[in-house]
Amino acid sequence: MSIPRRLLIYIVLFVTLNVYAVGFSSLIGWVLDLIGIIGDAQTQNIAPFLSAIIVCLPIWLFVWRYVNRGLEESSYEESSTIRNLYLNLVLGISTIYLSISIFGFIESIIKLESPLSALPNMIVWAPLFYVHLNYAQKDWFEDRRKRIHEFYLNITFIISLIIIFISLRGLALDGLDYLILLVSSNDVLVENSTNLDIEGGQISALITAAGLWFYSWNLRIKKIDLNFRTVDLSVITVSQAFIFLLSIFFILAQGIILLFDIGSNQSQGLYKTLEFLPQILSFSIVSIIIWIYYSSGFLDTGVRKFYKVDPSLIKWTYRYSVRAISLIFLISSSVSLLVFLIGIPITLSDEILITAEKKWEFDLISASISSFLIGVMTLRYISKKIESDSEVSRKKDIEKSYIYIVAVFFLFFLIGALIAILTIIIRDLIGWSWSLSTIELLRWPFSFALNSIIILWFFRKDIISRFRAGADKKIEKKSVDILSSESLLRHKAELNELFNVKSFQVANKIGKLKFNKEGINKIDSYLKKHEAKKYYIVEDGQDIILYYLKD
Amino acid sequence: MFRYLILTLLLAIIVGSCSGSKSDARVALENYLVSMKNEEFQKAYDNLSENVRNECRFDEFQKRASENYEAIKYSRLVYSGENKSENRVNVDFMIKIDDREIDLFDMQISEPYRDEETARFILENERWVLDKLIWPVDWCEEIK
Repeated sequence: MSIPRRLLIYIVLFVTLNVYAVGFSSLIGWVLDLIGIIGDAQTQNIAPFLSAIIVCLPIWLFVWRYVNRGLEESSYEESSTIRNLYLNLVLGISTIYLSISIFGFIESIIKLESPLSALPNMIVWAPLFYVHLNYAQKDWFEDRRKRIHEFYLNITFIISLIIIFISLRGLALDGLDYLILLVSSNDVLVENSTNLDIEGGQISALITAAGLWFYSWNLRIKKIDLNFRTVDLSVITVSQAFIFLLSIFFILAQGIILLFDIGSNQSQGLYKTLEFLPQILSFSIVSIIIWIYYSSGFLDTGVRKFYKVDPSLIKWTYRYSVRAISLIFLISSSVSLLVFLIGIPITLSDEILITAEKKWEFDLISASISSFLIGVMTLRYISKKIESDSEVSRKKDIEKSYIYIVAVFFLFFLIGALIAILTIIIRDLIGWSWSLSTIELLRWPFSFALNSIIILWFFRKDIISRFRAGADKKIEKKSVDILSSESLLRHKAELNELFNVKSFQVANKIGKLKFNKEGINKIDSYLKKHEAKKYYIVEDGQDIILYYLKD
Repeated sequence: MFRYLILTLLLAIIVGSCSGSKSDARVALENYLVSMKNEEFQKAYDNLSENVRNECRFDEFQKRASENYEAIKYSRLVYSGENKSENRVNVDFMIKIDDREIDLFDMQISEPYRDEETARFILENERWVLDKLIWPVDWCEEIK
C-alpha cells in the first residue's frame, strides 16, 4: 500500500472512530439522563449523537475490516509506521478517557454517590482500547516490537508513577497530620465530627494510577531490557534520592531553627510547632519507598530484587549523580555560612532603623548546618560504595561525564555571580553610594563566586585533563552500521562498548544462489517470496546470498 | 542520619510540650468557641468586651452566629500560639474547614478560606474578654 493511501485510510479511521466514540458516550449519557439517573434530558438532544453513530460507525467498521484483510495479504502492512501511529494514538486517547472514568467511578463509590456518570466513557472506550491494544502490542516480547508502542508505554508508566507519587504523598500527609494532631490533642480548640481527613480523590487517583503502572511497568517494561528503561530508572532513582535528601535537609533545618527559638517571647502550640513535619516527612516516606523498589534492580539495598536489569551503566550513573547532589549540599552549606558571616556587621549595625528587623539570621545558620550534615554523610556513604565496588566496566565513562557536569555547572555559577557582583559595584561606583546595603546585596553573589572558584580549583586537574584535546582522541570510537543475520546479535552489548553503533539491523537470510546467469535470473522470484522493507544481494565468493530486512 | 532525625524530632516535641499550662486568655478563647459550637450564643456573647458588646447587640450577634453556625460545626480549630503585650494578649488559632460539607460563600464570612485567625483579649473586670469579633462571626452589621 502506498504511503498517501495508507495515510488517508488511517486518518479516516481515526476521525470516524473519535466522532463515533464521542457520539456513543453522549448517547449513553443521554439515556441515563432520560431515566433520571444523572439529570434532565431533552428528547431532541439525541439527534447529533445518533447521526454521529449512524455516519461514522459503518465507515469505521468497513475501513477497519479492509485494512485488516490487507494484513493477511501483506505482512509488511502490520509494521507500517502510520498504522502503528494510529493504533497507539487511539490507545493513548482511550487510556485518558478510561483513567478519568475509573477515577470518577472509584471516587463516587468512596463518597457514597452514584457512579453512573463515569459509565458512558468506560462502556465506549474499554472495547476500543482492547481491540487496538491487541494489534499494537503484537510481537512485544520479540525484536520486531514497535518503537511507538514503547513510547506509549513509557509515557503511561512515567505519568502513572507521578500520579502514584502525588496521591501517596497526599495520603501519607493526611495520616501523619492526624498523628501530629493526636500528639498535640491539647491544642485542639474545636473539632468537627470526622477526625482523619482522607480525601477520596487521592485514593481513587492512587488506585487508577496503580492500575496503569501495573500494566505498563509490571507486565511490559519490567520484563525487557530497553534503552529507555535504563534512562527511566536512572531519572527515577536519582530524583527520589534527591527528594529524600532534600526533605531530610528541611526537617533538620527546621529542627535546628526550633532549637534557636527556645527562649523567645512568642509561645507556640505543639501542633503549630510540628506542623512542618507531616508536610516534609510525607515526601521522605514516599520517595524512600519508590527508591527502594527501583534501586533494588541494580544496587544492594538489603531488600530483595524486584526486577532484573544490567547494572553496569545505571549503577555508576546513579552513584555519580548522588555524589553531585552531595556536592551541591556541601556548597549550599558553605554559601549560607559565608552569607551569614558577611551579614554579621549588617545585623550589628546601627543603620537598621526598625528594631524588629534587627535579629540574627538563624535560618541561614540552620540551613548551613543541616546541609553540611547531609552533604558530608551522603558523600562519605557514596564514596565508600564507589571505592568498594570491583565491577567497574562503565565507571570511567560516567566519571568523565561527572567531571564535565561539575565543571560546566560551577563555571555557569561563577560567571553569573561575577556579573552580579560587577553590576552592583559599577552601579554603586557611579552613584558613589557605598553603604551596608552594598554588602547586603553583594554577599550572595560573592559567596556563590567564591565557592564556585573553590570547587573548580579542587577539580582543576581532572577538568584540565578532560578538556585537553588529546584526551578524547584516545577513546574515539569508530561509527558503524551493523547488519546481523544471527551471530552478531548475541554480542550486541560488546559491540556497543567497542564502537559507536549508529544502527543495528537484523536481516533474515532468504537463500543462496550460484553466481551465474541462471542464479541472477532467479533473484527476483526469490525476493518476491518475502514481503520486506529492504533487500540485500550480497556477493560471497562463487555464491550470491539474499537477505531481507524487516522492521 | 536517622539517629539525628529522630533526635531532632524528639527535641522538637520536648520543646513544644514544654510550652506549659494553658494561659487564661487561651481558656477564655476555648470557652467562647465551645459555646459557639454548642449554639450557646448568650454564653459566647458574655465573653466579649464591653466595647464590642456596645457595637454589636446580642440579637445581631445571635443572628450572625446562627447564619454562620455550619462553618464552626464543620471546622477544626487548633491553637497555634500567643503573645502578650502589657494588658493585651493575642491568641492565634488555625482554621481547617471541611468544605465538602458546607458552601462557605453562602455565609457572611469576610474571607471564606481564611486559615489563620487572631483573637485579641483584654483584661476587663479581672477576666479576659474578646476585644474584637473573630471568625466565624467577624462582623456584626447586616450586609446590604
